[in-house]
Amino acid sequence: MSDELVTLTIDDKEVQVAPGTLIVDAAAAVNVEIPIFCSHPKLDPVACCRMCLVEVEGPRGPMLQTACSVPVREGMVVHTDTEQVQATQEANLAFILLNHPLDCPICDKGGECPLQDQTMRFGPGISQLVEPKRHKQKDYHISDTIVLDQERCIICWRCIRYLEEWEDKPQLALFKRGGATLIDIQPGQPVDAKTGGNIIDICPVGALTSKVARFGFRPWQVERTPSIDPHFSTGDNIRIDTRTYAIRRIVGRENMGVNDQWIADKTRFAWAWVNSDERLTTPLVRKDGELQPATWSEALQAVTDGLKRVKERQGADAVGGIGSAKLSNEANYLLQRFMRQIVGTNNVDHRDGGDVAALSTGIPSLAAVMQPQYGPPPQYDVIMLVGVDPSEEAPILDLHIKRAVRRSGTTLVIAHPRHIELTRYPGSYLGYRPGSEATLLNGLARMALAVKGEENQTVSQLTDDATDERLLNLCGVDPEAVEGAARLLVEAKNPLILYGPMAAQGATGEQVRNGLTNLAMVLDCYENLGYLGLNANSQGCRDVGVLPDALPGHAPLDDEAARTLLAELWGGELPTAPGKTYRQMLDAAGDDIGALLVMGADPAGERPEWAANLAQLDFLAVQELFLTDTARLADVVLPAVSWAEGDGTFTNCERRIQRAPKAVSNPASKAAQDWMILDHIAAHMGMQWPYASAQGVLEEITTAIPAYAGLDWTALGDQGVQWNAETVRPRPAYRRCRQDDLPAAGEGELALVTGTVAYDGGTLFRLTQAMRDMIHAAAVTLNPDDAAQAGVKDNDAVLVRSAHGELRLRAAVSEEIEPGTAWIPESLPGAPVGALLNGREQEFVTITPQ
Amino acid sequence: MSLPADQELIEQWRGEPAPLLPLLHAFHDRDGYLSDHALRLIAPALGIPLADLYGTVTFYHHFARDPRRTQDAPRVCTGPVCRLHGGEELLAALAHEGATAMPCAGRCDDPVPVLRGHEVLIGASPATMTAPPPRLPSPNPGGREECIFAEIRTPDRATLAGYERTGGYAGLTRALDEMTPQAVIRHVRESGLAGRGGAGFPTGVKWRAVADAEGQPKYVICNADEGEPGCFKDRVILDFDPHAVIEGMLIAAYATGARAGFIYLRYEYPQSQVILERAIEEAYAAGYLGEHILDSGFHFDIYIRRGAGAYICGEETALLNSLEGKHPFPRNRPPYPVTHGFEGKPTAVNNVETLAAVPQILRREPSWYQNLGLGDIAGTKIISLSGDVQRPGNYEVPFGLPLQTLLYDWAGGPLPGRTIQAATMAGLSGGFLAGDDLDVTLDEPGVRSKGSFLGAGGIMVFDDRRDMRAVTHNAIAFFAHESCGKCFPCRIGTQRLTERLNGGGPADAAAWHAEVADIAFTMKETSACGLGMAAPAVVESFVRYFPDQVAGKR
Repeated sequence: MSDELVTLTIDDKEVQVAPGTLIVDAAAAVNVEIPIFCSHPKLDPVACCRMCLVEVEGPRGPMLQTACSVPVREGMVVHTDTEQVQATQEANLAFILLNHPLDCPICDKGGECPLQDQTMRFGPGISQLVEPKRHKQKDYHISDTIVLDQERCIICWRCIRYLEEWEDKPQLALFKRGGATLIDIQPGQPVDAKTGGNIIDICPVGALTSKVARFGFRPWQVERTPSIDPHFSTGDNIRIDTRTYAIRRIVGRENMGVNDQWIADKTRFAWAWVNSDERLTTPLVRKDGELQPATWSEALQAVTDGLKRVKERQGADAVGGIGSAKLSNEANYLLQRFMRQIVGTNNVDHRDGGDVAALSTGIPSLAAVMQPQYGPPPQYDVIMLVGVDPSEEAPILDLHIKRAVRRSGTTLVIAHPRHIELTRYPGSYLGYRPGSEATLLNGLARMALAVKGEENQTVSQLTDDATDERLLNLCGVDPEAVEGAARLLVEAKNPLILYGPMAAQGATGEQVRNGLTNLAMVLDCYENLGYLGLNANSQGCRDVGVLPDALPGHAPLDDEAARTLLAELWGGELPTAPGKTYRQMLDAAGDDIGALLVMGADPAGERPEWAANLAQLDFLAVQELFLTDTARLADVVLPAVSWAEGDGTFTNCERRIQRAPKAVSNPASKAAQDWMILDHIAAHMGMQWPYASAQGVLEEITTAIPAYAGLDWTALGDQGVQWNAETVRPRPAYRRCRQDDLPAAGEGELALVTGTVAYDGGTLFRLTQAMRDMIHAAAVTLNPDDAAQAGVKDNDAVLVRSAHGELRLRAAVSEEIEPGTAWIPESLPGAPVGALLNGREQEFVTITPQ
Repeated sequence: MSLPADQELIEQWRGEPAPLLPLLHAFHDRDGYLSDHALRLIAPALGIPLADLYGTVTFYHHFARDPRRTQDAPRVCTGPVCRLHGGEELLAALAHEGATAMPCAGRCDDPVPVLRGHEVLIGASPATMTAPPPRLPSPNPGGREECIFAEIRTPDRATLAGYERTGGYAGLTRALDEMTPQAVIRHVRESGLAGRGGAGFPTGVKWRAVADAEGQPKYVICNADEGEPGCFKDRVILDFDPHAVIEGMLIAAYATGARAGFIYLRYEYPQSQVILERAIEEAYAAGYLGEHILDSGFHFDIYIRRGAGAYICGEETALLNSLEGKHPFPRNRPPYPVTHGFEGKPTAVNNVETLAAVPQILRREPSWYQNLGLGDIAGTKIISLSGDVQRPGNYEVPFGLPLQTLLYDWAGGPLPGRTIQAATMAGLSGGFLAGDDLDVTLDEPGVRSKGSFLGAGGIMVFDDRRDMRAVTHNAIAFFAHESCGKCFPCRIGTQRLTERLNGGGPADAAAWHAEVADIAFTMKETSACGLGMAAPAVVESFVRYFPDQVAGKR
């Protein structure tokens, strides 16, 4: 496509636009509004509603053409306001309204409805209707969360097109024909796309409504707060609509650097927990063995006493702090400041923190993966995923990847122990045995070098363990498949490599990260290596130093410049000895660790063993929204507020710092923001911090972290700002990547595969009534061959046993699970897979029918 | 013989071009209906999303989805002419067999056709139903020189031997031996041949565009989805002169550089399919189809694809979507099929009659065809004449022939004691002509000067006995039934006009007229394809010519 702009005239205004621009968009560029229904700026045109007909001058006089489907031409002359155009607009609207039920008073869309708006603006103002309207299904549930009103539907197909063009899950279609035409699901197959709720936002009438939000708001009565999603690490932009101290709905908000305008269903629908009756509203202090309501001063004093007692008795390093990647930068920053400055220990970490070999720089950029409807193509022609499942872990990234594959020809190389959903696209799939990542990566690097035909002594030596035989036996992967994947990567112009916490945790995590780095260097794409965390603030939690071995800004503990900066900022000395990681603290709880301050984490729910350890602690304080398993064990429970109830910033996986301002509050609750709770504990311990607000904490962060310099609340705006990766990116260097042989599976043993699913049994999901049936069942999924071997059928009750523990689950049988493995996601309702784990890279389980 | 298994059917069609329709027909023929089980097998086999497949299947009226109403249940023609001959009564008489109504089945000269599975029966009552052979066009009553029908009355013209004996494949041989593709296109262009499916686009210009378009492979498609009520000309050509169509496609393919072609045949013509299949087989055996045709470097294959009961599939872009297994909605244009046709490749879509004329033209000089017309318009047109005239049938008329000559001299005029009240144009799409407007020459400029158009050339005659309001109501109900539902004005407008002809609308006459005019205006101005633009014509012309009948019945 040529870069030269096309010049045309619309209503006597000259406009210059890129070739290929549609008339409707060119008109918008000069503030000429052309009414539309079926057309949508993010979807391919279909030109079925005929609302956008405009006059285009041609050799045979002016002709009516659909502005939504006709691209501009040089010298084109368009009129949008002639009598002829107005007559067709009026006529068209009159037609659309004929069968529309006009139940606007009870329609969620009323007040923000394009059909209403256009009827006011372009309509004839009289009704021709005399016959009864046509009746169709009005309360038709096309999924657990989406209701279709076929009477309101004007059959514009936006919903069909969204599911086809973005989700690649065409679960809605046109049925029958002519006047009988309906939009419907295929019988018995509800819409289950993980971002399907976006069709509600783009419906131009009230035909699609949200089951969790409908009848709960009027658009003109809600207060609208621009915010971000609290679930996923992509930081999808949302708008929270509230009224009378309650969230009424959450909708998507456009950010072309992050989520286009789409959000995940979990984001849109799973917010009932915010207004839940189960929320903690008052501090609790353990008295006579029971947690009992207390005042804030009682509770804060109890925390002070408990922490001081343990510190005095066992030393500062017997105290630990656990932060959370689900909480804001401000809360996490103050937690590590509290632990380092006031307690005097580096025992501060979060789940997937020090136990995972992440990258300080996250992923390069979401925009570089995106293929918007109109805009530049993605920058990557090959995307490699190592131990990452975007469909479950980051649905919007999943959407971007699918779009890149289908519209821009991006190829996927997927290394994952499970046949993840994205393996449905052509490319390369390496189904490795969990724990064998390091060897697999060495194999890829070795073969990439061979495909390139290059000599590199260092790489050859570093990767000489990854023989064909070892790939086959240790990784369980066909060496030819590895070579095929290597070839795709080598032949790529610009490959992207993403990995997740599952691939690089525990003792070999460091080796895996080295292996990834080596591979990226062999492929000349070192800067395209990215780490994708799981939570909304996985990146920010690391940025602000909730790590046992790093200060804010990813500075090592012995980094003199950072130490000096922080010492000046905070006053006093910083501890020097590395702290314990999340797992180390929990393993040592009740032993070397005597007291823990846990903020927004539930390790007791994660692993029964840790629950037992936590019960042995001298002192446990928990800042929480709910009375979690961990909170139940606490000496003091401090009620906190959610992301929607206080100001905070979150840093997404591409280092974009974004604001989540306070959108709602509960006046009956005594709960407080996490940063403020920490500020008060500090005050009780004799340290007056200078913060008046979350913005004040952010102000300090912008000083404490050089990469955040200048990025205060105002500077971030509504779209956030990315910090510059080059400020912390380590210099590229080949590093050692080795692993020992893994134990072979015994008779009847299956390698356990675990990981995250979007619809788990966690509190933030299960409290949404409408989505309860969507929660991943408490089940172990295994390959049909293994199921036959174990004498297990689909839905049988089974006992799953590891060397470490056991779980009672249902069996699910699926081809998508590799032979020799068993898949049990984390956070299943009442069935913590942690019961089977003991921190090893690989765990084997046996499955027996009950 | 045992019925083919699911997998056999799927394997038979999976690798074929345009496999969806034949695969659906295969399951439908085997089971008598399309089961959920079949759809769930077909969708993954052809890579079609399940919801899309369900939606698409429900679009076609031929496919039964209910095991109790199988494809052997009779379908009775209730087209405009068959209604005059007891179509509705026959439908009622066959109700106990689960009979359903079928829009015009293309046998208006031989009412009333009943389709039972793959068999076509004719009769006015269940007792008299027989399966007669199709009717040959009678010799040209005006003694005019013909093009398409010139040899059609030769016995065994439908066989290869008979066809060759009467000059068959001489046009192809001449093209391959003596002419470049460019020369063929020039020849056709100079002849003035234009699209006979109704649009009248110059054939040579279309072929030129396909030949020049980028992209391979290219395709030639014969549009044999003759769905326009009152049109049965394509069927007669297919039944009596199938090789002419094949030869026409071959010449089109040679001219445009196409490697493969489809004949999209409406499902109501099962006999024509048998005849065509036999002719194609003969042509392959004789080296007219396949590789190295007539020992040249030219290769061409033809596939027959059977429609499934949807008028809109005669619209060329809907036809393309239907072939591709998509929801058969018309596409937005541009791009046009000449550059983005079947599977996005350059495609020439030509009507049966157009293609049948090509071999005759290629055998001769362009001026011969030019001069067949009486006036400025080149060539001839087959008119399917039916209804209340003494000798209904297909007539090849020179462009410019007065309609009155056709009606009175050629077809014998109205039945004894009757007078002609109205005649439709372009099947139903052109609406009615009546009174003095019947004084018109049969060519587009002539018919258009009366506010109608000649189109595909179906003319249905209604004499003074007929209730024109009822005829109009049935006509607009047909368009509502066949509207695809894609564009709003057609979907809604056809319904609303039907309701207005059915006693609906404002009680006040002036308001009623204003509203009908409004609806018609919207449809004509804003519809996306010809169906919606043309559909109001029957209502408008009825209101214009028969104001008394409007008032009388309301």
